[in-house]
Order: sequence, then C-alpha cells, then structure tokens
Amino acid sequence: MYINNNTVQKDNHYDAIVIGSGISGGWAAKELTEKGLKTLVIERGRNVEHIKDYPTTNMAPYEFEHNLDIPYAVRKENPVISRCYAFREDAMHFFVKDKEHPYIQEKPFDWIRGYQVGGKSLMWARQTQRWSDLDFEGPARDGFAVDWPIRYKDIAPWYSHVEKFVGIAGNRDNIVNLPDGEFLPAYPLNTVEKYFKDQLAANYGDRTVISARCAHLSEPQPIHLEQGRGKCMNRTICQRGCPFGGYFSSNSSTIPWAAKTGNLSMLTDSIAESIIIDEETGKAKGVRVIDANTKKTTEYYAKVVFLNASTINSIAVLLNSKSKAFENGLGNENDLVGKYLAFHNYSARISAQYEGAADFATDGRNPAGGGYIPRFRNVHKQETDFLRGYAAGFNAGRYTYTERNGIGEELKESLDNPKLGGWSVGSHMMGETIPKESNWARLDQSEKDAWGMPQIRISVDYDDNDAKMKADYLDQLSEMFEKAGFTNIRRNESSQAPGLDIHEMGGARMGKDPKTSVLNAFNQVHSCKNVYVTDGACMTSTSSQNPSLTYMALAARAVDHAVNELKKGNI
Amino acid sequence: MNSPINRKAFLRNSIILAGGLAFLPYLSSCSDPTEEASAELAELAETLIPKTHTPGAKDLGLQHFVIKMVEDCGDENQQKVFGQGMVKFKSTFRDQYEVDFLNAKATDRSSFLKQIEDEKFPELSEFYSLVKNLSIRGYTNSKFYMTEVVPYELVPGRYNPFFKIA
Repeated sequence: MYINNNTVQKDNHYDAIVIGSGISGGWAAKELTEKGLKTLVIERGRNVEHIKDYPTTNMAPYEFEHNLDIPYAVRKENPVISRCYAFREDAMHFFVKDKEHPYIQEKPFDWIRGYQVGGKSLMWARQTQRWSDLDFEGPARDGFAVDWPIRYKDIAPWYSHVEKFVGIAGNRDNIVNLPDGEFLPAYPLNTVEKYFKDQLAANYGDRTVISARCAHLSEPQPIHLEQGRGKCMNRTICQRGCPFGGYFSSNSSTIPWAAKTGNLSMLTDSIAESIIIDEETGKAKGVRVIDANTKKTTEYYAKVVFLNASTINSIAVLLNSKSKAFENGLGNENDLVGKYLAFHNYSARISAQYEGAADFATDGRNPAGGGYIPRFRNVHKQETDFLRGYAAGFNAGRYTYTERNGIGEELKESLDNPKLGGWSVGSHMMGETIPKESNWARLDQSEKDAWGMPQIRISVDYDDNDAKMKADYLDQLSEMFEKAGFTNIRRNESSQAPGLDIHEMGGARMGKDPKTSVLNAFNQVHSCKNVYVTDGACMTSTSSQNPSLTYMALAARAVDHAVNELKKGNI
Repeated sequence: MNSPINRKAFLRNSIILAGGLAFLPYLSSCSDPTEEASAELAELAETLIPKTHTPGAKDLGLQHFVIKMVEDCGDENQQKVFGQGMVKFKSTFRDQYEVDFLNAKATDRSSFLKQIEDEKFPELSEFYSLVKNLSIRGYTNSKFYMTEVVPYELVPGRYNPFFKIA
C-alpha cells in the first residue's frame, strides 16, 4: 500500500530506498528527504499513523477486557513474545506473534519484533546513552572481534545532531565513559536514588548513579514543537504510542518530518525480498519487494539503498540478495554475514528494601524510569577475570498496597484505604557480550515463511564470560546495597534466553578490512558501496549502553556520506 | 468469545469437566446450572466485598470479571481449580448448612468464608484464594474504584521526586 501517493515516482525509480521504518530507517528517511532525495521507504508491516493508530492510548485500566493481561490462548500459541515485558493487552497489537512469523531456534533465542511503520521505536524503553572511546576502542584493547573503524570524534557531531532533534532529557554528568550530550532538563533522582548515589560516592570512588538519559521532551524546544510534539505528560504508558509525542518514535517524529519535505514515498505491507544487483557494475540498482497481501513481486530502483530492516532481518536481506557478483549473498564474500551476532546480558536483577527516608515519597511518574549506573568494571584497564563490564538500571519507589485480610466490610474498608509501603529498590544488569563467530543467524536451506522467504535460523548463546560477569554483577550490587544499608536483598538470576534484551547487534559488522568485516567506516558494504547498513547489524561490539541512539547517529552520518558520494559520482 | 452465550458455555464446560454432573441434583429452582453457578459466584463475591454506602460486588458485576479472567487468561490448572472448586464449594456448604449457598443467610455465608480463611476446608483454599484475589482485583480495578475511591491518573503531567509526606 502506498502512502503519500502524490510523491510516487514514475517507473518505480527513486533516488534512494530505505528498507525499514524503525528507529534507524526513520532517521535515514528524514535525512535523505531533507537533503532533497526522492526517497522510498519500504515497510513490511502495516501503517501506524501517529495518534490515529494508537487505539489504546487513552484507555483506563478498567476499559481493557482483561485488565491488561494477555489471554492464555495467545500466550500458549506465542511463548516467545509472551516473555517480553511490554507485551501486554495495551500494546500487544504492536508486537509480532511467534505463530505468524516463524523462525528456527537452533538454541533458545527470544526474537522480539515489531512489524509496522515505526517498528519497535513505538514500544522502546527510550534509554539514550552515548558511547565513548572506551567502547569504540574496546575490541582493539581487549583483543576480540575487530577494531571499530570509527572513534568517538567521528560520531560525536552526529550524536549532537540526533539528540537535538529527538530531545533527550539528561544531566551533564561529566563521566568519561558516558559522554555528555545535548540535553533537555533531566528527570531528577528521587530521595532514595539520590541517597544511593551519595552512598556510592562515600563508599567507592568510581561508582555512581545518574538520572537515566531518555528520549523524552521534559522541556520541548522549537524544533520539537515544529514536529508537532509536546511536553511529556509523565503517563509512562509509552508503549501504547503517545498522543503528545512526548517520547521519540519514528511515527511521532522522523516519518512525518520526512513526509513534509514532499520527497517521501512509503510502501507498507511490503517485504524486501532482496537487493537487486546490476550485473555489469556490481552496484545495487534497487530492491525486489513482495506485497505482503497479494504476494506479488515488484522491483523498485534507486541510486542508493539503506538497509534498516532491524539487525536479524537486515542479515536475512543481505544473505537473500544473491547475484552473479554475490553468489553467497550481498557482502558475504568472506562468509561473515550473520556471524558475530551479539546481544546484551540482562539475565540478573536484584531487589531490596530501604527503611529510611520515611518522610518522603514521589508524586507523579518518572518517564526516565529512575537512575542509571554507568559501567565501573574494567573501564580503563583489565581488572577482573572477565572481559568488559556492565551498566545497570537502578530505581527506588514507594508503592501503595492494601491489606487483604478478612472478608466483608472489614476487607472492603482495607481495600478502600490503601497504605503507603516503605521504599523498594531494584536494579537490572546490562552486560556487554563478546561477539563470536559461533553466534550467528543464517537462512535455512529448506523452511520457508508464508511469503516464500527462507526462514531464519538463529544460534546464539551465553558464554563463560557472561556467566562470570553475571556473578560479579550480583556480588557487586549486593555489596553496594549492603553498604547503603538496604535490607532484604534478593538476587534474581533469570534464565532468560538471549534476544529478550531486544538489543541484538552485529552480523554485518563495521571494520577497516574487507576481509574481516562487512561494512566500512561509513556503513557502506565494502564490496557494494551504494548499500548502507545502519541498523543494529552494523555493530562491531555491543558496549553496555543502550544502542538505539548510536544507530540513529550512524544512520544520519551515513546519509551525509552517501549524499556527498552521490554528488561526487562515487556511488 | 465475549458473548454471554460463550461465557455460559465456558462455565458449563468447566463444571462438567470437573465432574460437575454432581452439581445437578443440588439445583432446585434453577434449571440452568451455569446461571446458578454465576449467581453463586456473585453472592460469594458479594460476601467478600458487600454493598455498604458504596457499591458492592454484585453492583459492580465482579462475578463476570472473575469468570472472564479465569476463562480467557487462566491456564489449564487454574481452570480446573475453578471448575472443581465451584462444585466442591457448593457441596461443602450444603453439607454444613443444609441449604444452598445461594439461598443461605448472609451470616452463614460469611461464617463459611471465615472458616475457609481459617483453613477448616483445605480442599477449598486454592479455589477460594483464586476467587478472592480476582474479586479484589476486579474491585480495585473497577471504574467505580478508579474514579471514586482511588482515582487513576491517566495524565499526571508531573513528577516530584522529593514528595514530602505531611
């Protein structure tokens, strides 16, 4: 289905094609159209128009048929997506059901997907921390993966470019491994979060808690108002889509912005089957698309292709793009595409109580979710028996509860008069994992999906480094909690499969050497320079920061490069 | 899936699956066992959360919420606990008070639930907890409760991280 019919080009020819409309594809589309390129965005899912297509956004809990629970039949039929924290009755329509889009798990892998305009940018957790050179230099320093072909200075201006438009609430914390950015006012730490920060400062020199930096308009600027977005109203039901545009999504921001230029065409319900290669030049000349409803195949042409289908789907598109020049799949001459797939280790949490600060609570809701503990392990040099380290979420809250004893008027009286509980504190780990050749996604040789596309086979697992890091997180956080005087400390080791972190990265990694990497320093496929991959697939390593901000910055940077290269006639 | 007809079918199935044919002899005036079970559940919930100067379980239709949640969201085990529990609850009450729960005095209903709370009938405790928890959930998530007892704020528009308690 075409959106913006008036911009459809004759003979299916465009200047640029973007595959995918999620957080990175939306950015590619915005930048390309702003620079005057007639751009076609191909989205495999349905259209989701800002506000209009957020059916649950203004519903009270009692207006949901199942009080926000997912029916058992749905859970039973879709075990993977049912494990996702945000898959609840209010946002279930934005998540892919296992049953409808099967894939093969060589090892357990919870692949969380959102097939619609905006992709997962609609339901993301909105955490936006920059990477530093301690991340970009990580593989070279510690001897894993390959060296990143870029450093912080290469991406810093693009972080700024993206942050100003997106709107990031945060403090300038002056932390070496978490560079400061272009910030709107932060959501402050609450009484106990601040207390914990002070305790860490007193007990450790190098550990702290900061206000989590997040993509919320705490104080909208003219550029945000111009997008039609307003101040975040602290609803914290973001996964439904926000009628205020209080948080950033492709739907509220980049896509309508791109549409306003008059240069955007969008094709929804359209699956990118493969990138078409011109056999004479070896360059990409377009994209072959399957209509999701009619299954009819159509070709669209462009001078440059941006692949932003989401990490694993971008791998699949590359591998499925077989031609005389690329018999093994696009960019896959060295059999690297799909390999070195990595993720974030979210498999441990810890909770406790705090007896103090009884005179204080919070009022309203914090869209940032609370605090963020930057990585403090192996930051400047190797100190532990595992490589790299972890960041952690940290939050404190006081919640009301009701006594449930008895029956009749006694019970009703209790229910009608909730009591304020003490402070609860909690943390979850976000561990860097080491990309390995043995962690991969590839196309299955025989199984196909409903559109005749090869099913994707995924084999990703934790390793010994992850286990050691997880144990260290639990030990360190327990100690930090004990020193702060927290009580009833509970360690929670989940056995969650990789993927449920929703931070899968790699498979078409950036690098300096075409023999050991798929993409160059500007996200171009080494061997096919007019194809850029600027989603999670490009990631050489994972750091411990949430990756979306980096995808957006890399996408904007790559578009700038592509447009210059087009002007010079280089691609 | 949501029509009253299907709701009835669910209730009938869970009772029959639970060996609930034994339910039938107890039915006096009412020829439809599912209606009777639903009415009984309504009285059970009302005994837990009675009408006072504010609405009670029956006013709020909490029995529909309980059935809906078990029917749609409960797993096989929960559905079994529910179906068997309905039957067992009825027969145990009748054994004790020689009258159906539905026709019993409010004081007898209350005293029976208190005995279950005191673990006098361990075979009913799982069923009872399920119904009590869902009744409480239904009540505290009802429109009445969320607008008049503890109003739910859809749009707070604020965050005060240092809220001083008076």
